[in-house]
Amino acid sequence: MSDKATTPPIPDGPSRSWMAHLAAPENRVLLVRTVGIAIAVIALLFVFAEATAATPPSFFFEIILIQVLYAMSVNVLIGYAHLPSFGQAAFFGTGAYAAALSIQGVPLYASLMIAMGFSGLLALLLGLLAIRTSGITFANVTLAFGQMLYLVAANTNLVGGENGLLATIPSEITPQYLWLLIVVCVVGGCALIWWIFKTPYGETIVAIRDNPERATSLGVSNFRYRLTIFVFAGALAGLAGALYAYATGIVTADTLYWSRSGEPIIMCLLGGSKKFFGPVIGAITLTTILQQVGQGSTGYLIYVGGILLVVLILLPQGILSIPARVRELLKKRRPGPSGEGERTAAA
Amino acid sequence: MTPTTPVLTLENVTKRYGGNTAVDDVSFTVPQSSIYAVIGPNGAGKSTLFSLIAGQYPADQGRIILNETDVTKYKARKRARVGISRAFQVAHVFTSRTVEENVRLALLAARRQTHKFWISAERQQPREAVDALLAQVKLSSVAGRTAGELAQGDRKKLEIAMGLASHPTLLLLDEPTAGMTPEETVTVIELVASVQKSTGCSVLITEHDMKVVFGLAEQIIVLAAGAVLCQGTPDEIRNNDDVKAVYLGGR
Amino acid sequence: MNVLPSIVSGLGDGVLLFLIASGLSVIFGAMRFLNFAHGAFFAIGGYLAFNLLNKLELTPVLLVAGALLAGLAVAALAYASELVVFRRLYKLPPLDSLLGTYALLLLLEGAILVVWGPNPLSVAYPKSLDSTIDFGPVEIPQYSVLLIGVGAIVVVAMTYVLYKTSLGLEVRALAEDRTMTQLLGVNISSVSAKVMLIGGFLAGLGGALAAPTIALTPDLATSFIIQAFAVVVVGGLGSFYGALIAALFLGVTQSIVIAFVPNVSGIAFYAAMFAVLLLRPQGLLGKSSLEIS
Repeated sequence: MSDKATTPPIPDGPSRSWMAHLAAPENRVLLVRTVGIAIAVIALLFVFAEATAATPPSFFFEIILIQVLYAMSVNVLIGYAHLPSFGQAAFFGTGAYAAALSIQGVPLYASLMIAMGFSGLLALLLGLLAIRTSGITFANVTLAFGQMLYLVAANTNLVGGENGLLATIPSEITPQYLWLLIVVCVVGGCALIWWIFKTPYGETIVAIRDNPERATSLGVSNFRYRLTIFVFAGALAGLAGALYAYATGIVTADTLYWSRSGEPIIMCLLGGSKKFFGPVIGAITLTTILQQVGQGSTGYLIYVGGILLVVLILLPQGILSIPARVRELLKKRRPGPSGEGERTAAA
Repeated sequence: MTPTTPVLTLENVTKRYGGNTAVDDVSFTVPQSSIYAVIGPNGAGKSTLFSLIAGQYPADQGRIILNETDVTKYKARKRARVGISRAFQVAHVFTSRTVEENVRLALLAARRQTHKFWISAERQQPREAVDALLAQVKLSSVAGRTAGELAQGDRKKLEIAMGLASHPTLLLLDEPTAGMTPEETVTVIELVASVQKSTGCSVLITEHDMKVVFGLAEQIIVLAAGAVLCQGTPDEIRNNDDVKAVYLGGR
Repeated sequence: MNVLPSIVSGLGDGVLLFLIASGLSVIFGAMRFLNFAHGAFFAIGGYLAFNLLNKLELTPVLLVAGALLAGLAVAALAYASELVVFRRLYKLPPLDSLLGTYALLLLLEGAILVVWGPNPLSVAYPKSLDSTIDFGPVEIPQYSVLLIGVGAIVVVAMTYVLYKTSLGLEVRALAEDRTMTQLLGVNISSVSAKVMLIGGFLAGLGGALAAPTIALTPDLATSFIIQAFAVVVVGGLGSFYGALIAALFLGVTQSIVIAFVPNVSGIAFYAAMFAVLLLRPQGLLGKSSLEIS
């Protein structure tokens, strides 16, 4: 006598190992594309690195790449999951400090893992408390959390206080190698994000964003998915922080300050949080401005403030929406057949 | 469990908001493979009742039983997992995804495969099932359209398709034809009838459009002021003076 | 009773926070709009007080008069911001409009840098208020008493506005049920402009009154706005009295913690914010159905 109250499991097809799944025909195209692009970009950047031969300009590019990774990780939350976290600096900074502390005793890769592990763990702890809330409350809870960490780091001697911690990488690691490491991590991280949102897990995250009630009605646990993506983003932010520590050689409390949480958000909105490469554009733009005019200076304030305001008012979808907007404008100029004959409604 | 075990049993279900009793001691059963309707004037508590059955709010009193499982304490998500599918009054769809992506996600969710992050969604969920569901609700022609662009009527059909993905035991349709043209309404009536026949699930609808109600329902439950006024076949209800009074005689 | 001075000065700090947070809260209640630039309004109020009062022999009366003038000037600035910037931000999703106000904050901070330069400026206490009153065995800062007095007047005045004027009615109606109020024909633009005027005035007043107690630097805007946000959220978004209670509560807590554990005083502030938000996300006096994404 079967229990009809539970839905009978629906057969899925012959089960295979995950590697076989990945290699299957439909997947192959996506997999090849992703890996191919990643390799191409890495190769290009490596060639570029060779050409510039580890001279000062590459520090600037290192920082840009790190900011790209950080901004992309923040967009996972802001753009894809609608979890407005104003405290990602907590994970960036934790990753940086963890890297600085661990690099003295363990090999480089272990240090990276430790940094990611710590930030991910911290994200898990915060998430367990905070994910129950949403919207502005969530933003403020995460903000408060980040600020608390900042104050502990800045005012106590736990992690070096005002002076911060040195993060000296072992001398066997040449600047070339570090550059390559950063390139691989950043491109790999972005590729990972690209991949994740093509999977059922990623689609579910987006679904929960679009309509949490519908997701629940389909049997999905919104909490679990939000929590896991929060941990994922936190770990990636920690990775960016660790790379930052290695690149700059010193970690200070400002890595945890809330403006360090605000910058990537600005980058995402500047470039466009709905487009995959939006945060990349935003990160490059903002970091370049920063380098040119210096943080906190009049120029920075006015340029960033001005550009941000203009973009938000005139280009709410960010810089990357310019092509689409141009197309729209051109369409309006040339009245033609009114598109499909299907019924449409204002969204 | 025998074929005569009702799909849905409500026993003395009550819900209060502040001083107001929205659902008052409601009891009825819905048998296997049937279509029942709940009607009543505005404010009679139909939507609240639906939300209680779907698990969105907990009932203050009473029991809700699905087949032989007491789901009173289950939250909405768990009820979805034991066989209740729900379409909302204002269609809830994933607006940034295409129609077929919506259905695909519903299928993935039904098969408990949404957690997989090592395989692409396209590969995990074969097209045939998606196409089949779209064909069933006659949305194949708009499969590639973004759900957010669809009119309310199509969105409701999409919701039904998503609801069917889990082979539900009980399908709750909250005003399925709201916002539809007369032609669309006829299509939906046919759709619901054919779906019920082909899947063998039971359907519980609330509606304001009496044409739909009389055309589809085997039994009609009339709610007034949160309580069950009466229950009967369409003919019985049509000729019931109490019902007429409740609808025409003001509040 | 060693705690009394801390409590009183904490109340005084709380009043300052309240002045900036109350405007924020009311604006949010009426317009569902969180305004970062409010921090700049506060800072500019302080700087204007510097300009007005710097060369004078300050008496309490002069100080208050100067503060009121500064408040009016900032109110005008807030009104201008409303017309030029905020109006265009209202239709954006909440995160975007929030960042838009942040952008305005940056711009105004840049303007402060240009006009007043990066060096810290200060305004002296009026002579008769620069020390303490003897209250039995305890010494209470006189300035805090002034602040508390001003705070009380503001609360009374705002209560009058909120409950006895038609503007107040519209603001409360919007906070209660926005859609319905719009349908009833309330002119949202006019309400938002007036609310922004009031909020700007309060922020400028607060900044001017705060001037003797702090060093005026351009980043005052950003540091105060974060604290103000904390107050607004803890008190309950949209709740005027919530902002009052939260401001006083947080001000006193901070003050007491400073007295005993100076190093981690800021942490207490954020810890309180963190705890309240997790236990009661709608804030102390907020409505429980409030969740804005």
